[in-house]
Amino acid sequence: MIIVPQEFHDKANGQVIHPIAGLYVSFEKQLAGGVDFFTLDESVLDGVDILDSDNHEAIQLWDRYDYKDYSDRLVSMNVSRSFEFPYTVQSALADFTVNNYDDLFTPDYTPSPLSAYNLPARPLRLYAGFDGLTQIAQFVGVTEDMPDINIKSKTADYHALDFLTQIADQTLNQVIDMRNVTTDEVLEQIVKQFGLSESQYQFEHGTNVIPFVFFDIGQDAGEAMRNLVQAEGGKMWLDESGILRFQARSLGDDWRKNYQEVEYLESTGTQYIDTGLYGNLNTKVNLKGMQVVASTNGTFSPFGYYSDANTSLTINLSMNSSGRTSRFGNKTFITTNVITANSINRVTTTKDEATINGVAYNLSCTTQFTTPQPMTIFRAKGIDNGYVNGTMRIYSCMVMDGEQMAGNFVPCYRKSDNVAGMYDTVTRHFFTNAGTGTFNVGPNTGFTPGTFNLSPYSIVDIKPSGTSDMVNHLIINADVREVQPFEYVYVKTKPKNDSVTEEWVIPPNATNYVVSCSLGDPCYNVVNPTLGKSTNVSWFTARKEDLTAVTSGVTATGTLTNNSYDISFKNNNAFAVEIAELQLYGEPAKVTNRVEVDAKEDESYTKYGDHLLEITDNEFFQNTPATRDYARFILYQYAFYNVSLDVQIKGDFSMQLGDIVTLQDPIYGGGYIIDGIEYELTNGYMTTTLQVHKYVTPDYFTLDEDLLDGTAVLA
Amino acid sequence: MAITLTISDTTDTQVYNVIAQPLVSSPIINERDVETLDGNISTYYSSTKQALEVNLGYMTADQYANLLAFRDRQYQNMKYPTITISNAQNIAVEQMTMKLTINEQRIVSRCGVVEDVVVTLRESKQL
Repeated sequence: MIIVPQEFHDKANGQVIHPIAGLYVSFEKQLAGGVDFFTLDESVLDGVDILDSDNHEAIQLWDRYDYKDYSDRLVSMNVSRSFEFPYTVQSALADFTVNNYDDLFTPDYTPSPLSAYNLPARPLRLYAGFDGLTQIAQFVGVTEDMPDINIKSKTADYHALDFLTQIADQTLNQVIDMRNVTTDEVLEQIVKQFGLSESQYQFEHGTNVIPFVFFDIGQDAGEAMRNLVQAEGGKMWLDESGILRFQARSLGDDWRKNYQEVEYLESTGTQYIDTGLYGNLNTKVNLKGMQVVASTNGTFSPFGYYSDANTSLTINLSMNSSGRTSRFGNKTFITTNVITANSINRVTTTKDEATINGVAYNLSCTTQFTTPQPMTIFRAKGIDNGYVNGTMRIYSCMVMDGEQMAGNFVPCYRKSDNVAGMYDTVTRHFFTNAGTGTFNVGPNTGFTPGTFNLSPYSIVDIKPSGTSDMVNHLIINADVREVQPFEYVYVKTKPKNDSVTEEWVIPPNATNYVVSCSLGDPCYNVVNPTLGKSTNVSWFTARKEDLTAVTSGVTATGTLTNNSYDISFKNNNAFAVEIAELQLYGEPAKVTNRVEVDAKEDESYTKYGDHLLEITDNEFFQNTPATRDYARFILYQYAFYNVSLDVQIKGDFSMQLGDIVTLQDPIYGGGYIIDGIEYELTNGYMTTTLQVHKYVTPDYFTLDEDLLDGTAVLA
Repeated sequence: MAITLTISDTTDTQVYNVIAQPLVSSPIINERDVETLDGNISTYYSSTKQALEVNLGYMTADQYANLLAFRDRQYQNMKYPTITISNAQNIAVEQMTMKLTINEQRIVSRCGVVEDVVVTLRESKQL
C-alpha cells in the first residue's frame, strides 16, 4: 500500500467521490538539469536510445527527465498492472487519451511545438488521487508507439509500457557468467546491462542459490528474469514511483508484521549474532557483507567458527598484503588484498570451494567434521580474541545443510522495541546481539503488504474464476548443473591421413578468422589457447600445407558463448596455416543432479480433475527441497475452486500489487492477495477491477516440531 | 438594473442588454452513480459547469454580425470568449471562459433584423 493520509482512503470510499488524475510527459526527453539527451537525427527512432545510449545510462534516467504537465489535456486513462502467473514478474500498461483540439499531439503537424518530438518511447508519468489531496504516482513508463489520432473527436490515444516491461522486451547485450549466486545477484547483473544504477532498484537477498548461470548475448532478458523470479518463488515489479523491486521468497510469511526489514545490520566490532548452527561437511554459506572500518589486523571475518584444529569453518579474508587463512574442516585457502573497505562483498563457501566476489578458491574437503561451537555472524568466533573486528555490515546471510535451508538471516529490527537483530525465516526466530553494545541498522527496506477491508459498500461486483485458474498438480523438472574443476572441454586431434579440413585453414595474413568450437557442456570459464603443446592450459598446434610445423605468427582469442567457444585466429604469416590440434582447458558446468518434483493437492485433484502446471524449461530450479516447497506453496494458493476472483470495487489509488484485501461477502468473503489492478478514469467516472487470489497462510515448518516431507512449508 | 451579457475576446468586447425572458441557467453536473453490492449507491463526481441560455430578443444586422464574429473567432483562434453576466440574481458568471453557440438565424425584415436570438454558453477552461 502506498502510504497516504487516512483522508485519502476516506475519500476513496465516500458517498461522493471526486477522482482526479495527472499526466506528465517528457516529449523532448530533456534531463531535468537542462542537459539535452535526445538528439534528433542521431537517436534511433522507436526508443532504442532510452535503453542503451553510448554511456549506458539511458534507462536509469526515468526519474531525471524534465516532465511537462499535460494534465489539462487528459481525457481518460487506463492503468493496469498485474503479476504474470506463474512467474510473478509484473507488467504494467497504460492507455490514455488527450485532448488534441489544436493538433498539439498530431505527429508531423509542424506548427505544433511537439511535432519533432512526438515519437515512440517518450517517458511519462501518470498520477491519480482525489480532489483536495496530493495525487500519487500510478505509472512510470514510455509510450510504445506513435499516437493514434482521431480526427473527428480531436483526440490522441497513446499506449505506454512500464520500464520493466520495456527491459523485458530487450535482449541481453553482455554475457552473464556466474557461479554460486543468488537470484538477486543475477537480476542485478541483468538490470545493470540496461543502465540502472543502484539507486534505481531495491532487491532483497534471494534464497535460491544457483550453482551456475550463463546467459549469452542476445538471450531474452524477460525470459531470464521470469525464470529466475519463478524459481525463487519471489516477485519482481516496478513500483509506482519507478523503483524496480525484487521480493525474495517469502511464501506469504507474515513476519514482517512484527519486524521491519533493513538494508543491513552494522556492528561496531563488539556486536555479533550467534546462529546456533554448527558447521559440518555439508554446510554451505552465502553471505553479503562490507567491512566499513578495517579491523586491527586488516581482516574481514564475517562468519564462522575458528580454531587451529581441523574442525573450523571460517570466512577470514585479507584486506592487505598479509595472507589470511579461511578454513573449511581440514582444508584452507589463503587470501591477500581480496577485500577493500566500503565495498560490498559476496561470499559463498562449500566443501568444494569458496567463491569470493566471483573468484573461486579450491577447498575439496572430504573429511567429516563438526564445529565444536555454533557459528557466528559478524565474527568468526574464536578468531577475534586478539584484535578489534572493526565496523562491519551484513546485508544477508544464508546457511544450508546440504540441500536443506538451515538458516536465512535477514537484518531487521523488532517494531515493538526497536531492538535490532536478524530474523531467521527458516526457524522463524529473531536473533539479537550476543555481544556487547548495540547494532546499528541501515535504511528500512522490504515490502510490507498493505491491508484493505472491503465492505459491501466498497464492492460493486464479483466474478469468480471457477476452475480456470486452478492448479492442483505441479510437475517441475530441471537439470542441476555445477561447475567442475578444470579439464579439457574440447579436443581436436590431428587429422588422420594428414587430410586437411578447410574450416581450420587460416589464410595468410588473416586478422580475424573465426572458428566455433562446440562444447559438450556450457562452461564457466575457458582458458585462452596459445600456440604450442602444453599441460593444464588451452593450446593448439599449426602446420603449413607441406605439413611442417608452424611455431610462430599465429595467435588466438576466444569468446565463450552458451554452448560454444568461438576462436578468432590471427595469422601473421604470409602463408596459410592449418590448425592441426586444439585442446581447450576450462571449467565445464556438468549436469550433476536432476530436480524432479511431481506434487498434487489430492482433495482438489479428486474433486475437480487434473489442473496441471508443468515447468520443464526453467533451469533455475536447482534444489529439490526448495522446489518441493515452491510446489507446495503454489498448491496451497491455487488448488481451490474459485481460487481467483475479478472484483470490481470503488477504487483506492493507494492499492498495490501484493496487498491483501479482505472481502466482506457471504459467499466469497475472506482474505485475498492482489495479483492485478486496473484503474479506468473517464470523465471523472472511475472503474477499478482487482484480480485477486485466495490468501492462505501456510503452516510453516518449525524445527523440532514438524516432520520433513510433512505438509509444513519451509519459509 | 438591467441584466447584461458581456462577451469579450482578444478582438472585441460587446455588452448586450438581456431584455427578453427567461435567462435559463442549467448547470452541468458531471457525475455518475455506481451501485454497490449492498444496493446503496456512490457517486463519482468530476465537475459542475455553468450552462446558460440567454435570449437577446431582436438584433440589427450589424449587431448580429458582431455576435456571429465572436462565435467564428472561437474556431479561428482556438479559444473561447470570456463571459460576464451582470445583475442576475444567483448567477455567478464573471470573466468566465465559455463556449458560445447561437441558435438559428431568424431574419424578420428586409434590413436584416433578426428575432429570437438565443445565445447558449457552456463553461470550460481556457487551455
